[in-house]
Amino acid sequence: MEDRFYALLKQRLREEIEANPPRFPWESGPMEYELEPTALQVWTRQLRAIALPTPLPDIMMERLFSQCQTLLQSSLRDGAKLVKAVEAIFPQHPDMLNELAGWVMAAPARSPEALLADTDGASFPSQYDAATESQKMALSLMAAHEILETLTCKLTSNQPQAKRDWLTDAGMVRLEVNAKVEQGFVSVRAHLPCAGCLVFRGNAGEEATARRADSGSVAVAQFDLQPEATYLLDIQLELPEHTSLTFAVQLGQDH
Amino acid sequence: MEDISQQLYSELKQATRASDRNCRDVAERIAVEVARICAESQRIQASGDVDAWSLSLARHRLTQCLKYYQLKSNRGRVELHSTLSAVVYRYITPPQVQASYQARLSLIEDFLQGFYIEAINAFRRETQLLPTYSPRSLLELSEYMAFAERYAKRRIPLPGRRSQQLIILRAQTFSQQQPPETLVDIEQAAEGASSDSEPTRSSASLQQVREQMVAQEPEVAESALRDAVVTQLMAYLEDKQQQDCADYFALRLQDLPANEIETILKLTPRQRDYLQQRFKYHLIRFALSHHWELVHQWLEADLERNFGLTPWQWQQLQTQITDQQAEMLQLKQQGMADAAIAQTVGCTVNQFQKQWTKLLEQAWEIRNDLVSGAADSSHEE
Repeated sequence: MEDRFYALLKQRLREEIEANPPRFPWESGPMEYELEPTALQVWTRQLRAIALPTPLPDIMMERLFSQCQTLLQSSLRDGAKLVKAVEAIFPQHPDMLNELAGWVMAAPARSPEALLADTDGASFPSQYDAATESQKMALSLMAAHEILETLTCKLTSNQPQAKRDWLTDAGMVRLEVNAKVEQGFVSVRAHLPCAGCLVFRGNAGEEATARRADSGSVAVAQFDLQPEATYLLDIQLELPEHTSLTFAVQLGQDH
Repeated sequence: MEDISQQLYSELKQATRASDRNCRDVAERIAVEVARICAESQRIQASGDVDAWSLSLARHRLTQCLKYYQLKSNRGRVELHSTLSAVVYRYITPPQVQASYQARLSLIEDFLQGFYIEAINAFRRETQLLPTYSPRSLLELSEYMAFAERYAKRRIPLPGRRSQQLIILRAQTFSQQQPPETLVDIEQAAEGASSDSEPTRSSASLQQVREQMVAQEPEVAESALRDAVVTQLMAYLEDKQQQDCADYFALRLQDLPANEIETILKLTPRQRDYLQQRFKYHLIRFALSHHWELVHQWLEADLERNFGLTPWQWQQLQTQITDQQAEMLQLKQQGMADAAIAQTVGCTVNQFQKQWTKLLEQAWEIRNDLVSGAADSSHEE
């Protein structure tokens, strides 16, 4: 009986309270608590397109994306990078994480069935919250793997070109990277959906920048780039929150 | 505890956009509190599965915190404030003045402002944060709101093996408008003056407050029978899709005056009057339906007591009912089951129940005719 009374009262009281929400003792006026980076959300649209057996919540995608962006510069090997991208969210099971990372690297991103043997054997649920701990780790690794692959352009003599498309809230960013590997020369052409600029960092702090005030193409180039080194490419869009997307360019040997 | 802290940290990172530092701090605070509770609880220690308890308690706190996080700053505080306001509503009474919805609301505002201060101080103390700490991020704000709700609902032991929620005790003190100097620590008052080293200056106030607390307790449920009737009547009303009658009933059970009921349900006095009549109609239908025994027993008007009729009234009933009904009455008095009676008198069970209901209605009318005033008030229950 009391339940009904409380529910009824609470419902009724809401009206007055919504019109005049309470202030807490330390608040001198309306406060802004949501200081989280909303800039990231510009880029997450593309991430939703990543094929996963269970979709990851936006929050997870943003975290993984953020980690991957930071890791692009690191000199870790691919496998270690992958683990590092995810272990910030799942610090408790490093061994399991390593093992799962191995599987993700070996199997193509589109066939998670290979991973099933290593998770609990159960199939992936339709909702993230229903997944087991190891399934969640596996999903995060798959997403991080895909993100790192997309953000990294590896150019060799046999494969001297890389193309990337990235869907943002402002429209599509199109990237085309061309290399003359033996000469260490890399040129980049980008189509920006709105005003922004392209910054390509070469050796010893050299920067090649191209800027435009509206949507269209920009191009930059760098010389004397070393093999097996990582060079960063920043795409900055002039949206209300200044935000950038970073790619990694690497020149390598054919295997 | 380290495990729990890490687990919570991981879950916070998956469910919020809060910084690493925030996630770590909040996870740590929950883990520490849970560890303390488990260590202090004899029940948990004796259970043999402290880990499972720890995890369960931690999960519960995390879920509560995330509930507020997902509502965000504005809707979160509205949720907290309405919850707490509903809990203290009937304990906040303006002194010497008839309570009205608006008057209570205004007092509740003042009361809760004070309560929020008490809650943040308690939070700082219990988590060993600086006295200057205040929530800055959404996660920290959610943590505070979840704490405030838990703190409000903490059970404080009272004399006589009873307990009451902390915020209700606070509300009662507030209503009595104790001047600040004599405001005593309610927990101290509840436990009684335990140590002699406490100054006796405040012991008179302590005694007074304790007496008031016990006196202020709303009536303890009268009897199991009344509870059964109330529960079944409520279920009956809900079953018949009479939601507004059920709401009205819920408010009447709290002894709220008519004008307050009008304000809460947003009715004009005339509308409330119609609702009251509809409620009475359903009440009678309920009383005369297959729940009749329960209600009649409660009204002390069951068959063993001749429907509560005097001998003269009983005679009158005999003259009014049909022969078939008289036979049914006799067989019922002998304790025969409905199906058997129906068969004996030569009708279906449905027909028997119809006849029986008519019989009850007539007894009801007779009983009410002679003592109309008193009988009506027993209807109101």
